[in-house]
Amino acid sequence: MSKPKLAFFKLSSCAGCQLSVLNIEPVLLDVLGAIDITYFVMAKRSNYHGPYDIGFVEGAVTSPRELEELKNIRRECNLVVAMGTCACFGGIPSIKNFTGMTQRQMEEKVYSELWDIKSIPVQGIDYYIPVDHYLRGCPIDLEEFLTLVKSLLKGVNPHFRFHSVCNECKLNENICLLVNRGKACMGSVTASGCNALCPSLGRECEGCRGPASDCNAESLAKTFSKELGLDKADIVRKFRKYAGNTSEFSKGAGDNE
Amino acid sequence: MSNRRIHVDYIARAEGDGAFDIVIDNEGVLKKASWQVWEPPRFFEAFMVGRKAEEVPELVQRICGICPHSHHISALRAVERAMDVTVSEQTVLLRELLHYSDWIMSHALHVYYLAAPDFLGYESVIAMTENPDLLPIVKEALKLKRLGNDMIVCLSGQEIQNKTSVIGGFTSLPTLSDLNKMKEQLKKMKDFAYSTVGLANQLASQVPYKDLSRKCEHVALSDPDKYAINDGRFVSTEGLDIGDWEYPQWIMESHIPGCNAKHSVIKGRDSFLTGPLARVNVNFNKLSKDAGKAAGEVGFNPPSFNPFMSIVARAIELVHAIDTSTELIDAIGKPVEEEPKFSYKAGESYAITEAPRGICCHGGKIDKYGVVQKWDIVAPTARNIYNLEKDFREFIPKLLHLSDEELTLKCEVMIRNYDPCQSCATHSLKIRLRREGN
Amino acid sequence: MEKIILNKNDLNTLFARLKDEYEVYGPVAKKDQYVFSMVENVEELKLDYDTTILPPKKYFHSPVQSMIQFSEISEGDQERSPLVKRALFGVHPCDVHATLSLDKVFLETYPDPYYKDLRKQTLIVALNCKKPCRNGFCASFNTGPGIDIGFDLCMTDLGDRYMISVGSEKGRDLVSGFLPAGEEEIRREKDIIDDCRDMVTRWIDTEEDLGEFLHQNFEHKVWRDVSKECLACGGCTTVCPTCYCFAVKDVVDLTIKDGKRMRFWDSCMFYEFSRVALDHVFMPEREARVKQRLYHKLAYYQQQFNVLGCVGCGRCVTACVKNIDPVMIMARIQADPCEEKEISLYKPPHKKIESDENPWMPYKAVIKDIKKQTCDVNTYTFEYLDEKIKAGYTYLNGTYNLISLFGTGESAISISSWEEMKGTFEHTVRAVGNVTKALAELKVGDVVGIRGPYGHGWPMEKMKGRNILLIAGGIGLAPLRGVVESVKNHREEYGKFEILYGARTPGGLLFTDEYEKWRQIPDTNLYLTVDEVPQGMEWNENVGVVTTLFDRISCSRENTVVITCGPDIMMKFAVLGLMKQGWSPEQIYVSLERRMGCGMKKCGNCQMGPVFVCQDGPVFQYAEIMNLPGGVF
Repeated sequence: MSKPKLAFFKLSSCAGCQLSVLNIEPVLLDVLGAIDITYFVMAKRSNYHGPYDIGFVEGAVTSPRELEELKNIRRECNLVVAMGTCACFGGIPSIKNFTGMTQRQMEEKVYSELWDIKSIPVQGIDYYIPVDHYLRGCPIDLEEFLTLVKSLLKGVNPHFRFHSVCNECKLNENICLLVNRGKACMGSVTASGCNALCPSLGRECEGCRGPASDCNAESLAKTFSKELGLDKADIVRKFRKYAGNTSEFSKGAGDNE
Repeated sequence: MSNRRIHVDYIARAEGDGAFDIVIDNEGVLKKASWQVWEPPRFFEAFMVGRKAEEVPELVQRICGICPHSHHISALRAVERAMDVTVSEQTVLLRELLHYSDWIMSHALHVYYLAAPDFLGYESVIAMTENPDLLPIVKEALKLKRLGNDMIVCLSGQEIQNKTSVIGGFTSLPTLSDLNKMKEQLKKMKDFAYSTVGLANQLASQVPYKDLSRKCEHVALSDPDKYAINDGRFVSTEGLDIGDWEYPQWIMESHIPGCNAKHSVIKGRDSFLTGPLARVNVNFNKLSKDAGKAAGEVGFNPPSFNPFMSIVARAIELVHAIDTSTELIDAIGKPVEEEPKFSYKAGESYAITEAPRGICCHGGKIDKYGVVQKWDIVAPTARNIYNLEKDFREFIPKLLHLSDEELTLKCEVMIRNYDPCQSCATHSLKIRLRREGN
Repeated sequence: MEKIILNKNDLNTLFARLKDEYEVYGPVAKKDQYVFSMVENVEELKLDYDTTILPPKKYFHSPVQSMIQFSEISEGDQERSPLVKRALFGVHPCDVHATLSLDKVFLETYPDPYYKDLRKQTLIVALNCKKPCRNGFCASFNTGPGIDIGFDLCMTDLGDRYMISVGSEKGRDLVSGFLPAGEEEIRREKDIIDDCRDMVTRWIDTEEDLGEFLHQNFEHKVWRDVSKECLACGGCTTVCPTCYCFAVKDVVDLTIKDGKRMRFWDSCMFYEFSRVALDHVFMPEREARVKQRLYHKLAYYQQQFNVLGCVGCGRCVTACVKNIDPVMIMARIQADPCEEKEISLYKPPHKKIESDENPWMPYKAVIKDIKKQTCDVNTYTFEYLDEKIKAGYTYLNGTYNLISLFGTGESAISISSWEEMKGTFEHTVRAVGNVTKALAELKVGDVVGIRGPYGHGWPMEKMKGRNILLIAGGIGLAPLRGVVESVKNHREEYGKFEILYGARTPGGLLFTDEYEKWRQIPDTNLYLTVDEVPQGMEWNENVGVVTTLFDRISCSRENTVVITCGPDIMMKFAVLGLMKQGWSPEQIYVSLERRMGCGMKKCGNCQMGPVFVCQDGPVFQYAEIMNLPGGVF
């Protein structure tokens, strides 16, 4: 069996997820033995055209030209993986979708030269193209990345389970930041897979992995308001951060009210 | 001979996507060196408005995956200044240690992954691993980079985005034994880091790089007592010396006719260089003893205005970062738990830190409810672009005898001297190289 | 019970004796809470702890348990970690009771070697409670504050010294040389525990049988309210000392061949808990999962294992962001119960299988033949490699095996050959999930792992002397094929035989080349139907769902057994249709599909109310399950 051809693409993002891929130092050489990286601009100078077996797309779509690029990626790749929260949901840049400003107002606010700025509302890539697998997180979890790579090498579905962060948090026997510390932790409605990284470090979950399956954001928003005394704007900020585009978190932000 | 055109649609082995557009006329004069927005706009400065003060450091570190910690610490300091939050000495030291960890990771990444392949004639570090002579070096380099990452993980929970550092301090601290382990690892990697200086010097001393020099203003944070990283005054080789919070009055963006991107200049002066070479030049006598020694051994004489020496400066800083990290660990001792505390207060302030690739400035205005009214981001890469363009003007005419392929590579090396991260450049660019005439 | 007195300063002596022989684990402080953790000296122990974040269950049923190390798809060895002798010091009565409950799950049938090893090697020093913890309600179930079973030693703090009850020989050795307790001290111990019980303010009223009561109140409005609040985070199940469900997964290294078959704690609160291939989920509604958890704790556990499922430790309440509290829920229902109706509690068939062999280890079986049935369905003929296994292997029609491909996983697949077949057996498999797709890539001569058979099959005995009406849909014919062949082989033992079989399209029909033979079985009718016929395809049989064949049934209602298998929706309409025509649920048998991770009533993934489909089924008399709380289809 020849090594599968992998490609890494970047749309609007910080490149942190691609960089994460380079952060698997202890197993990097083993991984390179199993796959063929044919397109990875951040890591190498010789990059080849498709078709590719697996395309990892980092970043959100924020401009028409990226949309074109994305469609091309879909054509060139047998499997497309949305790599990181920006690609999955729009990520941090999607906050701008909810600022109440028009695209032009925003463009004028940040840029003085507007001739080449054409921006559109920020979306995850599956808003435009079918996506085969998702690696959530800001940035992605390396174990999960490796699990996906191994699954794809094996030709199986990794069946990631996006139940809530609380499970992993409890397994780490953390003191509950919400119940015991009164912090507005999003862990209960956020997808696990990060080994409850933030709460294990005393930091409330900010929801970077997007909604958990069967997410009950409305109920958590109620707790934020009634038990923790967060005001409406605070709650909206919580749910309009990493995955504000999702219908699940939109409910937390009060879209149903 | 027909028009010679060289297009560089993207800059490989740099973070972010960029494409230069360089036009050289048939007399070998750089006619145009322009860039257009390529990195898609993410509007950080727009959507930061209306967010809470404590979110600022969390959000801005997502500007750039390669120097998140620099953005993060700059923003922390700016917010803390604006709201009059004081932090403990331990927090100050831990933040410095965190930033040096980032330097170790980033410099190792740049020297070995991004720059070395250029100088050694490989397309990537992956290709270098296929050479049995280079494989051991690559493996050591992986370890050095991993060391930086391990330190970052230990302090902030994760390699890329900080999970523990918040306004007022840290939500979780490393244990003494974590820090001691870190110290052991630093000790182990020291020799390799030291040897990196020699290697970097060998690479930068090749023809034609060693003869390419261009005087310009080098700026860096500077502190009378130490090598400045997280705070200090804003000082240049041409005599500038201001408080870092004053940067908005001094760093100007001007529009140069014929070019579509904004150019950074120092008010009343010209383009400037920021980054490791500028830092080593400005703060040479604050380097750790061994870093100074390593610099001396390769004959590095500050100030050096050869931009290709930046790889050497990076290697020198690697040694310095390892030495200083060790000292910081000693100074921290056994970390003491402190609850990070702050309260909202209206204010406006700015702060600078030294990202691995240059100054990273953040600041803005916060209202009394802790809601951001304005946020301003000046990332290092954007600052260096104008200076890079001047490098092109200076050096490309000297390299016209080279083939298209080689000239393209040399242009890329010039770009990579700056270790650019284009996601950083919230106002960003597009790059294409084209020769005309003949 | 033998009682000993230990002066407080002798605690060190006892601890040192333990340390000599055991790794000692006990409650230690984690900020302002407590966790069980390894302890080096007595000072670290916080014996006045209220409760721990996770129960000591983690030492018997590991959150992550590596079960089998493998290298190729059929090459695996049992993972054997060095057995370390452990002592759990200061375990509260509720947690001791919880351990006894877990014992029933893991040790009673198909004893689990991993749990057994850890359990066997662990000594328990219990600690009676002096004051109630904040959320506990142990007194309701008499699982606290004192205990007299399930420990090696049990301590009670008498203030100036400890009273120690001896529960085992090992325990006795540890306290040898200490003075026996006097009557006064024994009285004081009782007083302390009684006082503590009196101080408990949280109670669940257990006067009425909880199982029946809850079954009565399955549609109570409190469940809708709780489900609206519940975040489905699974925190409650993770911290529960009696929850045992787990998911089995093969984890490979970068060779993608070598790896480990592992199990991880799972939770019925998770949407993915009941997920099977093609992303079908059997409990998608949060309300169904909320009820599954609380009913399992308060009712089903008792029905299945005859032991308490809730020990009242209160951890689920402590962990819950939304304060979902069994005590409050029960109080609310008891204050305003639903109207009483007649119900009968489900009683599982009791089957006890004990063996010294590791029930998780599949046996190697070689693929002797592969026959294509449809575009994505193959029939595989397997033969065990080991002659002894091969000779001793028997199964009943309608039961299933777990087919194991190390590195990919295991999948429960019904046996499609017939129980009289010897030497080889067959599985008819649709390639839809990871395992079945990987199986489809294999060739004749390849070796896989198989363990089984599991569960209860078709009522071959009960069908004797009676007519048989077989109704199947799609791949559902596979587990019924054995019945067809057995009837053929023993034709005289059964009455009239009618087969109604439907598929989506003619191309989806299984065993098409066998229909001629089936039709030749005396007194047998085979009726086929398809939902639709692709354009241009010739089709001379019925078009429509399988129930449209019902008017052709000629078996008399009175003396017929109905056996059916197919998609849930098909079975639902078939069963309801028949019952509407006056057929009784006693004469109808259905074969159900659920996610089956173990086949041994342990992983919990197949639970359907109080039923474990993997062992209580997969074939059920419809009458037995039609009134399950929550229903079947």
